[in-house]
Amino acid sequence: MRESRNPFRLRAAENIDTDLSFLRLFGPGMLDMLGDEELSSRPLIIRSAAGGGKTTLLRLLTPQVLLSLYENRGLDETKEVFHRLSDLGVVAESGPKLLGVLLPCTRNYAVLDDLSVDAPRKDRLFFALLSARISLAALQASLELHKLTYPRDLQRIGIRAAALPPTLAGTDEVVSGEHVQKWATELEGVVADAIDSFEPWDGVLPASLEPLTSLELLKSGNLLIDGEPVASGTILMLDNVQFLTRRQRSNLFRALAELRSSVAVWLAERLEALVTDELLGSGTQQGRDYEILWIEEFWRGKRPRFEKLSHNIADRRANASVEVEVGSLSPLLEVSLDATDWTGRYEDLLAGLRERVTREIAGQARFSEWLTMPELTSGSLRERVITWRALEILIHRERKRAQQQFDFVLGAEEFDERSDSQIRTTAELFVAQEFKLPYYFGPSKLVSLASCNMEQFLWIAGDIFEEIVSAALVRKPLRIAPERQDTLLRKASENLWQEIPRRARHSEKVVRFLDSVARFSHSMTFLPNAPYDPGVTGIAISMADRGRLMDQAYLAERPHHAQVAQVIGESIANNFVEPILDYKCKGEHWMVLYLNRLLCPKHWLPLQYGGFKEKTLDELARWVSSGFVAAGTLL
Amino acid sequence: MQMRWTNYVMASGGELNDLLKAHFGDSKRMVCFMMGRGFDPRMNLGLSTFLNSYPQHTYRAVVLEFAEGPNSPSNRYARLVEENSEELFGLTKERAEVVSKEVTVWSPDGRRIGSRSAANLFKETEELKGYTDIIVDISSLPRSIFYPLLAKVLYLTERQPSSEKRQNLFVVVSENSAIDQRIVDEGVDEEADYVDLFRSGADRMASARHPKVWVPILGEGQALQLRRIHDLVGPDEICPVLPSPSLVPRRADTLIEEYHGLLFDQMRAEPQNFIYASERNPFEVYRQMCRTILHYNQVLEPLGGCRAVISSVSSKLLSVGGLLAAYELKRAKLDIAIAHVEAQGYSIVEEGTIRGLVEKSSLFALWLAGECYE
Repeated sequence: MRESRNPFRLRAAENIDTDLSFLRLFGPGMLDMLGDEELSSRPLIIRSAAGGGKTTLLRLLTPQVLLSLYENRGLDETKEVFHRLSDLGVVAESGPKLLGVLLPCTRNYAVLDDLSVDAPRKDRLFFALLSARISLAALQASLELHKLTYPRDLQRIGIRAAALPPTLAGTDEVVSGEHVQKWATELEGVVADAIDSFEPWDGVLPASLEPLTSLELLKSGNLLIDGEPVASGTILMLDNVQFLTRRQRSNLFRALAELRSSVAVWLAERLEALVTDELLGSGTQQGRDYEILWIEEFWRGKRPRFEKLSHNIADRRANASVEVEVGSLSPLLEVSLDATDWTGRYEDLLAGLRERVTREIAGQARFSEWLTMPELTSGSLRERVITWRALEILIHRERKRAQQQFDFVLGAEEFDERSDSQIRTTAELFVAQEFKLPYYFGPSKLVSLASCNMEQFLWIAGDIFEEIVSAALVRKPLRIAPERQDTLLRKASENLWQEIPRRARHSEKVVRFLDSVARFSHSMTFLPNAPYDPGVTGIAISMADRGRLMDQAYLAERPHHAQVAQVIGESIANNFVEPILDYKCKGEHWMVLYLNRLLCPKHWLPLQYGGFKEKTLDELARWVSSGFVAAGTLL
Repeated sequence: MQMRWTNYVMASGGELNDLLKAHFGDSKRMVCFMMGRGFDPRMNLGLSTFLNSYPQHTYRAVVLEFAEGPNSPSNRYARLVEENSEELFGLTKERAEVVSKEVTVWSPDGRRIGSRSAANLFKETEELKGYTDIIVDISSLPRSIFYPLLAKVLYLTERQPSSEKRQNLFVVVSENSAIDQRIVDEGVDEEADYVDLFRSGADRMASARHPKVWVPILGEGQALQLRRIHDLVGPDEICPVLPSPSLVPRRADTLIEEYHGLLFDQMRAEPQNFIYASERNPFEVYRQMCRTILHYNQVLEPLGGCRAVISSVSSKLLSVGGLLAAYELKRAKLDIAIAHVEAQGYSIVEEGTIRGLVEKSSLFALWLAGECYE
């Protein structure tokens, strides 16, 4: 395995060079996404931002990985994956049952759309190239599954003639693999010449070629090895569909829907492939022609499972390091500021807060009983500081309410009634922000910062693990203190902000929009009475406004709203915001856009969900064009 | 395979003056001068050399304009582009016809198509008919543009009817490492890509099992670019090209030091695979690359041969060597590709003083086709 010093750095599935290493690092929880039933033959579109885990999922089903899984099914690290894939009918005690044909789409397909030929010829070239490559990939995968060598053993493969184009089928009932390979190679060569030709292309394609001709070849029983079916089931997996042009992509989807083949086809693509309409409509497109799995959205609905999966993957990665012997990552992350190192600091804070609150309410009988509550003098120093800060927030709230109410003395009962875990969480954040204490630390916050994207999790966990490896090198204790975790995670947050211009199209507007959301959220979160505890981390537009942003006629007349649509679309595509559709609040339905959690530390925002503020399209248009201006700063 | 540029013509400094005098000094010539419009202060250096020294010829300057869109970081240097344009105007006034050709950098759906657009600037031999000499100045052209442009022009000049007098094709480039170091890529693309006209060689499913050999020409400060190209190519063998001999004798060592972790720990390059070529001789790069790739192809013949991918993250001068190797090997029907990663734009370090560095530039001319090869 490459770079096993810090295995968290092995991000892309294709960069893990041996199949067993891949299986050892594979978290079985990933298979939650596939459900419990056998793989459906309806086309499945798998979508996520970069690093969501699409390729990892596809690679698992390729012949060499399945063979390795079968051979190593007794190992502790692979046992669970084997059992779960057995339940899905992918493997059995006799061996792999599924032929997984993985075909990555490269940018060369898109070039076909730029050739100086008419649109029908472009389409024919596209489908010809796809057909040729599906055929070649199927032949190669079939031999791999039976541990045979490509191209040497091609003569052992037979394809039922009924599954082939008439010109290729001839008169025999079964056509040899060699024959099909020759046909596909020539066909691919014709298209390759068109792509790289120095002269305008005027080549000829076979007349009888229908779109996705070679999908027939993958149907059960059509591919034979020594006269027997290659596998019980077949799945075609097209990866990186985002590299196709929009026209090619919609032609492909249409062809698949029209074909209604019994072959399972999975198409994996990044969200960036989607147009604004599709991005804003994501989550509601469960069509009858295909199913859609949006990976981040799947995990957003199952956060505890994502947390469990992340910890599992982190432990597997930590285990794989050759530099340091670590069984698990979580125990190495300190989770509390109650250690003695902080005693002096908290004593000072406690004294300061006590004095400030006492001074604030001096002479006000209404709050006098609250100052004598036992909660203010019990618990650890840190807990007492938080209680005093919570008390201060409650006092601000009561002062706001006091304008409408009589000035009754408030007792301990009222305090208990008004204070809950939310307000303590908020008080903790307020204390951290005001006194610059560590806030972003511990395994739970580490997973929250991933925003349900596995690559993002590995990125930040990798930073932490690098620290552990370095500590091992100089023989220091391996546990990472809260302040160091906080520093590393804030740096990761800063890095993500810096990456926005590089990743997003219309980057200037996207940065302005996200920065506005973050600064606005900060201003709402840190109001003295903390009305939106534990804080605001997003905005919402009404579902009706969302509909308007998807209406081309509406946008054509309102270019400033068209910019809002574009910017929100880009932000979703790059996972800079987490969209939640149809959220019911105040008798209305909303599309909530939460900031990616890793964008929060830079602005001292909490990591919990739930706090958002409704916005109109005009307000957002102002943010996109000139940024958020905090109230009271206009002059 | 017979290597076309085993004997070659290349000159710089005093030798360049002699060469130009011998070729452009007497008979009347019709010259097509291709160049890019941009902020690079070297933009007009090549053209001014020709116009000032040999004003008696008929010149047509084909100026490539880049439609990069409103979001390009390079737009902030519009003032420098304007200054270069004014200089070009003064230089060509009543001395040369100026024709603009637009290179579209982005497709309407947001894909990079600059490389394809450059390859399509000239489609037929007819478009170059009538010129005795074609000069392509790559000083202010990015690699993704001059690779396909130069390959296409080279191809079209070769396709001229044999009944006509051979056209001469020159490449000129103003080398200035101080300026190169000041112009920094900004916003390197997330994914590398293959250059148009040199795409399919590495991508054929039919030869997917043939080992892939990657030959990158190394230059300083390009770790991210190298990593991205490596991710695209996924090579089985890596043969990095190092500049040696060099004006700075330790330059190759310094490069190895800079990329040690990347090359040896992450990419698993073998030290015995390094190729050395003079930092000022692209024809040597061409020869070394051709030899290496042909050798791999021969050795790996029992496995069906190899697929080769060439990249350059070094000077433009050496990059031309990579292009010549790719062109020749493609014409010999080998599986060859050029991989490259683009930047969203460029930023200039200490913008205010960059123009003052132009005088230290050295103009190189490479004679690629025409009379001297007959």
